[in-house]
Amino acid sequence: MDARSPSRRLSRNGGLLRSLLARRISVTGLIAWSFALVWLVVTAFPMLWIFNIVFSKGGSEAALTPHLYPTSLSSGFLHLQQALSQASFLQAYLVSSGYAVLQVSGMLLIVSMAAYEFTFYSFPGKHALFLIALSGLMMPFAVTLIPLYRVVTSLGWANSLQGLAVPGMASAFALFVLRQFMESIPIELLDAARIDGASHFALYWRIVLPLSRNALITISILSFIAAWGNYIWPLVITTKPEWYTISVTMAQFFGFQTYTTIEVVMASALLAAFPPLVVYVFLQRYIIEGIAVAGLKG
Amino acid sequence: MTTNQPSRFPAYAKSYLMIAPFFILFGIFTLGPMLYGIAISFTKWNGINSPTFVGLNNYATVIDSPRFAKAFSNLLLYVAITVPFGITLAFCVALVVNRFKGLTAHFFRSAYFLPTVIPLFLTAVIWRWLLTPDFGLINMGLTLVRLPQPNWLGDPPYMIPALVMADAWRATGFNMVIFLAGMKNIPNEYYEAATIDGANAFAKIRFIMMPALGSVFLLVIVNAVISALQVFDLPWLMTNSSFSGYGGPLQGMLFPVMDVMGRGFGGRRFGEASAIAAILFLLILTITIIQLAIRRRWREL
Repeated sequence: MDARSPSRRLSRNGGLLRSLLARRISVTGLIAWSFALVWLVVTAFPMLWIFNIVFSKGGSEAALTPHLYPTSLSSGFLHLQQALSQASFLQAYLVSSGYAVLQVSGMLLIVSMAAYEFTFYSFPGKHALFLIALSGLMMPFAVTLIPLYRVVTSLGWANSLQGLAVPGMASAFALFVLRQFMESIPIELLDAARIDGASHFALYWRIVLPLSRNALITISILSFIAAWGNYIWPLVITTKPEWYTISVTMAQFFGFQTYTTIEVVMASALLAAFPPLVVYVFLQRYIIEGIAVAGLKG
Repeated sequence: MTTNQPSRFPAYAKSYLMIAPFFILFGIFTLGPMLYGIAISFTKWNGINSPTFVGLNNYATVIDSPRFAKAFSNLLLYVAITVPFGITLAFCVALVVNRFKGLTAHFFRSAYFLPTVIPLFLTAVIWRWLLTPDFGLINMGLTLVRLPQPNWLGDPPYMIPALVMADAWRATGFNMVIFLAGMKNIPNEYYEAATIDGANAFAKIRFIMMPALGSVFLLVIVNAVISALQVFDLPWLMTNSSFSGYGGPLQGMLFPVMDVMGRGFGGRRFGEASAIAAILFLLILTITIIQLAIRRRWREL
């Protein structure tokens, strides 16, 4: 407040220029705003463009020129309907949903159990075990790809939901984030419940899990978005078209470049990106906070 | 040891039981494959017959192959451009968002983060279209300012810059969030003191904010390098690759992980593929160790 008072005095004394200066419409402010608006166009326009292609009459090669606004609501719904009537598309949607839900729920259970033990108890080898788990953070997925393929196929899990989902469940990243969060739960709460006769497992299920709700939501969202968009693993482990995920199916749609039905292809793309977009729009607070916490303490 | 557990042994047993599912899956699907992959790299194996030990042959074959040289020279160029460009951009975006307050800041932050949550296949599609030679938006823009229109995805010298743009679009939001969180942690008194000393906005960024964000920069840079070394989805999809043909015209967008996929699942030469993967792992391990060493030194200072 103190810093402002000289400028307020200035504006009371002077004309327009001085009051403008007092309001700090400065060079840096101008630069910031123009940069912000340019970057906004860059980030937002492509999605808007796809939306506008879907919601236009189209059918010609002119679909490649930019569409600045939606022109036909009814053909938009027609295109979405046509996209949904493709059998392979619906099947892929189902596979991706099953894959993402199975991976997220499995991950939540096993990671929260491990994080609970690592946060609140001490046992021989605890430190070494946690370091081993953390080493997973620096093992590039691309490097384990071929042996992982070998392991999963020898389990007979090629072309199956468990083959898609189970390898991603033991997430070192999720364990790390969750443990960071659980450290902030006061141990007195656990002691009080223990005196009341709560068992080891009851402490986890009734006290720690409910208190970790926010962190659990964060890792669920991040893991859901990652599973939904994952391309390399489904590409490797699914060989039968009925087990293709949405990302593999969409990559094929675009591979053929059928310009005449580009509105339908784009409608499929829009529908394919829908689940992560909805999750983002409604739960972005958790995502952004989660990344910030994991990032800064990492 | 001041925990009030009634007796030690049963408590330990319970702990081990609760962490067992994590470590069983981690062992089978992460740690095991890691070690197994290194073992495969010393064998000749087509995925069907049983592997035979060939020592370092795969490494020799791989390092001698022109495809490997091309993939790694592409990778070097890509890392050298995308890391400084992407991080500078993310830092500038974070600076701008950090200037705004309340709803304005919230709005821009949300919009800028959006490309990060879009599935990668869609990012690839968007950029393939933006970069189409004749009708693509980028070339239409270049025409307006009378610049030449490169064939971004067909002419090798332009292919890596094209990938850099697509990657910057996708990754900037993520790094911005980390920078923003770091900026929020800098105490306001630092800036106030600088204001009293007569520092302008740029001086505050250069002499207060950037030094205070040292560890954040280290983290973001290391993450960017490690993920750039493993680049796969975007170039694979932007060049319309498949196991039988990948990397685009004249292998202008060929990268090591793509070669791992191609040699492995395309050529059924899993030993060679694993050797490339192991070389990549060695690189990443080295960078991680350097990062840890720098951190330790900073902590001692």
